[in-house]
Parts: sequence; C-alpha cells; structure tokens
Amino acid sequence: MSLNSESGPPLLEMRGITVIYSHNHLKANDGVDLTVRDGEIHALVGENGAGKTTLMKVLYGLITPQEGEILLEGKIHHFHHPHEAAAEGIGMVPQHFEVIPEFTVTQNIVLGREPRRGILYSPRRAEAAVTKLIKDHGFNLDPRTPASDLSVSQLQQVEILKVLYRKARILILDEPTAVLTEQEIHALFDTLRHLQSLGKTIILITHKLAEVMEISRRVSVMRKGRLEAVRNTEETSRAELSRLMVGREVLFDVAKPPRNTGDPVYAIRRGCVHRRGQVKPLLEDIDLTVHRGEILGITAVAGNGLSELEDAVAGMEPFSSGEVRLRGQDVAHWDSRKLRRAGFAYVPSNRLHRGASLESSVGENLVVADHHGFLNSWGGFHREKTQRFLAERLNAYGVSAPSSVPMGTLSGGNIQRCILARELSHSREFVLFAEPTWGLDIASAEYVYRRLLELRAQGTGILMLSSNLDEIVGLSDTILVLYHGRVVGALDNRIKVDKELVGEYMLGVRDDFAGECHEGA
Amino acid sequence: MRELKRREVTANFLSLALTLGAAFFFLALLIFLLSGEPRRALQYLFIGPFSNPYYFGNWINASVPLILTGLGAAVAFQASLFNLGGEGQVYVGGLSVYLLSLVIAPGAGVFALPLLIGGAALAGAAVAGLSGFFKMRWRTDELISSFLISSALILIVDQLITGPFKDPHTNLMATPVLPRGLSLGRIFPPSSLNGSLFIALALAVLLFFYLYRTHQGYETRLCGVNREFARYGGIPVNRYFLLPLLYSGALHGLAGALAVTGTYGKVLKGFSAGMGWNGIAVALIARNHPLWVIPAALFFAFLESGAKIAMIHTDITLEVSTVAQAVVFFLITSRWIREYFLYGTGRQT
Repeated sequence: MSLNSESGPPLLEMRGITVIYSHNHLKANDGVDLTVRDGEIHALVGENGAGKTTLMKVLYGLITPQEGEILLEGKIHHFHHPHEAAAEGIGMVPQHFEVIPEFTVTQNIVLGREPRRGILYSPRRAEAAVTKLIKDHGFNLDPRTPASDLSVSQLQQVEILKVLYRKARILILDEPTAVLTEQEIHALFDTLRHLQSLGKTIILITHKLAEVMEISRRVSVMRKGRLEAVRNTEETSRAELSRLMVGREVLFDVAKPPRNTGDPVYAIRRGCVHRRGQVKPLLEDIDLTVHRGEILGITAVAGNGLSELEDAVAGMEPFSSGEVRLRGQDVAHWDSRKLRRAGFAYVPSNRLHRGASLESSVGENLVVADHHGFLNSWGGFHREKTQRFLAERLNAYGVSAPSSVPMGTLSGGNIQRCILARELSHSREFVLFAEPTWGLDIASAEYVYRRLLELRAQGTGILMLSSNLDEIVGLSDTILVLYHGRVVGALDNRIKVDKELVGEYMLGVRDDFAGECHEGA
Repeated sequence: MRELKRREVTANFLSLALTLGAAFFFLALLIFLLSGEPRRALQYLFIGPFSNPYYFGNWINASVPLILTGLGAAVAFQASLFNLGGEGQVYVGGLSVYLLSLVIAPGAGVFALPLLIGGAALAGAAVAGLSGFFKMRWRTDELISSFLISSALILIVDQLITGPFKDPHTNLMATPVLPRGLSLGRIFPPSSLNGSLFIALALAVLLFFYLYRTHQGYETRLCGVNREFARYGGIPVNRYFLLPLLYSGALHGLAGALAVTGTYGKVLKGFSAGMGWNGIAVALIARNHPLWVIPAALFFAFLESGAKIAMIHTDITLEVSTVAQAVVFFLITSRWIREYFLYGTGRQT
C-alpha cells in the first residue's frame, strides 16, 4: 500500500497546538503535535470530544490556536481564515454536506470560484473544468445532474471534488463513512487510494477502527485533547488502538443472551405515510411486529424512510393510513401527546433538538412528559418530590452534573444518559430507540448497549432504528431493511448475519421481502 | 459549569450597565449640544424626580403601566411569541373602562371597580387572543397580525373618543370623567401615584410564580425555548400559541384600565402612546424575568420623568428622553454586547 519513501520530509507538521475554548475554558487541544508525511493516508482517531475536529479546524484556519504553529514543508504558517489554508492547498470535506440542491454538480463545485469570461460567469468553461476534474480523478458523475438527484455517496464525491477544484493537496475528511453503506465505503476507499496515487495527502478523521486498519498507513490517536500515540498501521491492532483511545480494553462483541420472546407488544400493518402533493408515498405498506423481550432492528441508507418511520411511530407525523397497535390498543391516529400519556417511551435520533432542550436545565429536561406526576395542590411543582426524583435518576444513570445547570453544558454522552434516565424512569413494555449511539464515543455507546440489553432481558419490546450496521447486526434479534420507503428484507439474526448482505438490501440490490421472517421462518 | 453560570451573570450585568450608562451618556451629550444651560438641565434631569414628593410620586406612577406592559411583553416572549399589538391593547383596555362604566352603575358598590378593570383585561385578552387563535389555527405570524390588528383598533378608538363618546363640555379630546367611586385612591398626594402600583407589583410576583413554579409556566417556557422538544414531551404546544397571548393581552388591557381609573379619570385621546412599545423595551432589559421588569420599568420611567421636569424648568424638549430611550432599545436588542462579555472576541463555531 505504501507508495512513498519514509525518508521524505514531513509535508505537514503541527507543533504544540493548544486551543482553549473561551466559553467553557475547555482545553480542547493540549500541546498536540501531529506529523503527516507527503502522500500518505493518515488516520486521526479518538473518542468524541478527544479534540480531533478542533485540531483539524486549526489546520484549515477556522480556529486560531492560543499556542503552537503549523509548518508546511518546514515553513511556518499562521492561518486566520479558511481562505488562507485553502491557498496553501488544505481542504476540508465536511461531515454534513454543504451543497445547494437546486444547483448542478458543476455549479456546486465552482461556487465561490467561478470561471469567468470578462465579468460574466462562463458556464461552458465551468463545465469543461469540472468534466476534466471528474475524469482526472476517476470519479463517475454527470456534471449536469442537479444535486437533489444525487445519492449520499455522490454528494460526498461532489464535496471531495469541490476541494480538489480548489487545488488542495492535503484533504481532510471528517467521518466520511458515517453515512455510507458497506459497498459505498469500499468505493470511497478506492477513490482515496486513487487520490493517494495521484500524490494527494489525506487525513481521515474517524472512530471506526476497522476502516483505520484497512486504509491508513499511519494513525495518530488522540485522547482528552492530547496526542496519545502515533503508530504505523501495519504494526498495530484494533485492540491496541481502542485501548489507546479509551484507556482500557473495550468489548467489541456485546455479550447477548439468547432471546426469550414473548407476546407481540407493538405491531404495524400496512403503515403508509403520504405527504400532500407527493405522488410516491414516503413509507409504503410497512408491516412489522415487536415482541416482548425482542430487539427489532430496522436499518436503511439515509433518505429511504428511516426518519419518516421514526416520526410516524412516535406520533410526531402520524401514519396516513394503516393499523398500529400498542399493547392491543389502536394508536394509529394518536399524536405524541396521547402516546406520552399512555406511557410511550422514545429515545429520538435528534437528541440535541428533539430529545433535549439545551437551554433548559437538566432538571427541566428530566421531568418532561412526566411532569404531571409532580404536581402539588395548587398546580405547582412539588419541590421535594421533584428533587428526590432528579437525584435518584441522575444517580442511577451516572450523571454527576447538578440538575440546575443547562443541558447544553453536558457532553453528548451525558445528554444521552439523561434522555435514557427520563425515558426509562418507569418500567416500559415498549421503547422506540432511534440512532441510539449516533455520535457517541465508545464508552458511552457501550453504556447504551448495556441498557438496551437489560431492557430486553426484562421483557421490554424494543424497536431500534439505526443506520449503524454494527449495532444493527450486533444487537437485533430480527433485522428489517428499508429501501425507498418499503421493507425489502427481513433477516433472522439469531446467527449473526453478514453485514455485506444487509448492505445489499440497503442499496436495493436484493429485494425479497415476503412477510415477516419470524412468522415464516 | 458553575464558572459558566458566573460568567453569564457577569456578562448580563456588564452589558446592562453598559447599556444604561450609554443611555445616560447620550442624554447628557444631547443636552450639552441642545441646551443653553446644560448644567441646570442635567441637574433637573437627574435629580428632578427626587426633588419633591410630587415629582417623585409621578415618576413612580409613570412606571406602573410600564411594569404591566413589560410583564405582558415578557410572558409572550417567554413562549417565544411576539405581541407587537401592545399599544392597541392598552388603548382598548382604557376605552373598555369607560364603556363598562356606562353600564355598570357606581351603585354596584365595591364590585364596580373590579368589574371595570376585569372587563378591560378581558378586552385586552380578546384582542391579543385573536392573534393567538389565528396562529393556532392557520399558523399566521402573530408578530404581523398583532401589530396590524392593534394599528386598526387605535384608529377606531381614536374615532370613538373624538366622536360619539367625546365629553361635550370640554375642548379636551377625551371622554367624560368617570363617576366618583370608579377611580383608584391616590396614595401619595399631591402626586397622581395611586393604588394601581400595588396591583402592578403583585402581578409581577404572581407572574414570577406562574412562570417558574407552576406546571403551566414550565410548559410555557419549554414551548418558548424548544417547541419541538415540548411536542416530543407530550406538551400540547398548540395551546401555548394562544394562552401566553391571552395573558399578554390581559396585562396590556389592565395597564390601560389602571391608567384610566388611577391616573387620568377619563380616556384621553392617545394616552396609550408609547406604553406598548416601551413595555417591549422593558421586557428586553429585564430579559423577560417578571421581577426584573420592576426595576427596568422604573428606569424607563425615570428617563421620561427627568426629561419632563427638565423641560418645565429649562429650555430642553421632551424629545431628548425619547432619543435616550431609543438608544436603550437599540443597545439592548443587539445581542453582540452581551456575547462580547460572555465569550470574548473569539469567533463562534
């Protein structure tokens, strides 16, 4: 895999980078040294909050560090703005794509640096330039396609092309595989290898260790704002890297006892979601059953109905037709309020907006949906009762923050713990989890998995919607795959299914759904 | 985290101090530029309201409607709703008192006055509630609808006061004086300070308890900071498009009723001018906290009272206080100052 000699001078050196965020005095980077050699794929790994993104923001000029310097081929640079970093050939491919849907591929790529003829934008030159760019770098895109017609992986290609168009030689990719399927990840890696062969240097921010092992030549591990270690990928292992990342051994396979499935607790029959003015339904004839003590995992590539299913099940945007039964009761037309009153528990995918109110206090976040239980005689809050409840909940879920601070001051992992503490404050027969570990570090994700399996052992029926294949395959008893709003595959996961197989369903390569598998098989 | 909290308090304090300081500075600057006797003018401006019981009482009395309209604006803001129709709601509240007094004879005894005031509050609530209803039903922007409804009502009330309900025995553009027994007692003669002060203070405390200690207040505030989260938590968010505007309108109506029954004794044309807008400024200074509305209203009234006194005794005009109030309004609405103290100059990402 190695293409360049070890003896080459470091292309990029970051020395003693220290960043202290002024609003919370957090040392996000504490004297970090990073060396990246010319033409290598360098993985930057670390848990959430380890300081990876901050370090990269320093590199492309979005943050000015309090201390430290950046050297490119031995020359010191101080970037105060992304323009300055871009001029030196440093480009960032963001995790959340910034494309204009109405614009074509070409228009998106040249935006901000349009080829001109005199003072006028020259569409012809732009298209010629982009066509050449696409050909030179081995992509497969039509420059005239509107961005709204592109798939997620194609949008990512547009983002990469944008950076290449600006003549970047160092490409930073922030969690590029988070939104992709297995097959798309392979394709991305092929692209990256090709770019490497063209002499580009790539820094890959990730926390998926399998990918680090597969693609990178060297890997830097960050932990708590410091650089923990640098390794040649060939000489390390996943186990060592994860030890370096979290400071202790991590269980990769969650021990999952055999299931002990009971009666159905939640079922959907022919569930459809239509939006007014749209011909194609967003969800079509969804059929599923969740039994007590079972984890039903549903996965899909973004844009194939997973979030619509979440909204429909949660009563935020109810089903337009179909039958929904919760413990035998017909809840098809219930909104979130009625579901809540009936004890429906739901851990949403959008934790920072829907699942929590960041400006409200931790206490105010924890009592919602249950606050009727804390009334005193005149319609106010029963203080002592509330305080006791909060102390008990925070303690049980290992959150050390006082209940009076704003939710927004907590880390992502602690916010998810608070949400769990709230949603699981009563014994539940059915719980909806959506993207339960999205964006969480390994330790927090593991904590969530433990709680999920505890619930399963207690006989709770769990519907888990997730685009993370590892947790879908690792936790589910049954797996359903959505494609274009329909269930295209149902897999019994008692013996773990192959991730590649699930990926084929997700991409619509396979489509053989014939009723629910645990009724047929 | 404690540190963050402390920083926030400091930032709030510093930005407020800077804002108020700037307001006084501009006021002084204007006087130096415009007045032939700036030293005397400044003296009257700043010390005037304290110089005798009459001025002092009138200053406090001028703050009463501002406390009420400030509370009214704050309760809507807490639910992140904008009630820009305060002016009209105050005016309608004032006229309602007169109209009700035609029906409710003073003979109704001790109940007459509460009935008048309560009726005016209901009238205010109905006006603002209309915007809330539209919002609930059709998602009409309450910011626009409350402003438009109020602007139309102001013209109608003007017409009624100068037309059918005008007192024929005077040249004043006003309704006849309310019958004896239908006014609040003066408590600090010779000034016009009256019992409405206690009502305003009590309501500030009441609103504080409502917002921060009750169940409905909690739901109101949650809808204000994050409506999506509120809906997720099973809170009937639709109801909170209407309810806070009803309370807001009621407080504005009350402000008008108390000004009429307490201070003027009749409905003067245009008496409500500025009360609604200044209430918004007061709520902004107080960061929508009901108890902070009291000092904020006192400050706003001080600017105006001081300028009035200076105008009587020297050559300056009332407009200088309007300019100072505008400076406050301008600075308080720019979030930049507070964020400067909170985060320093660092770029936000």
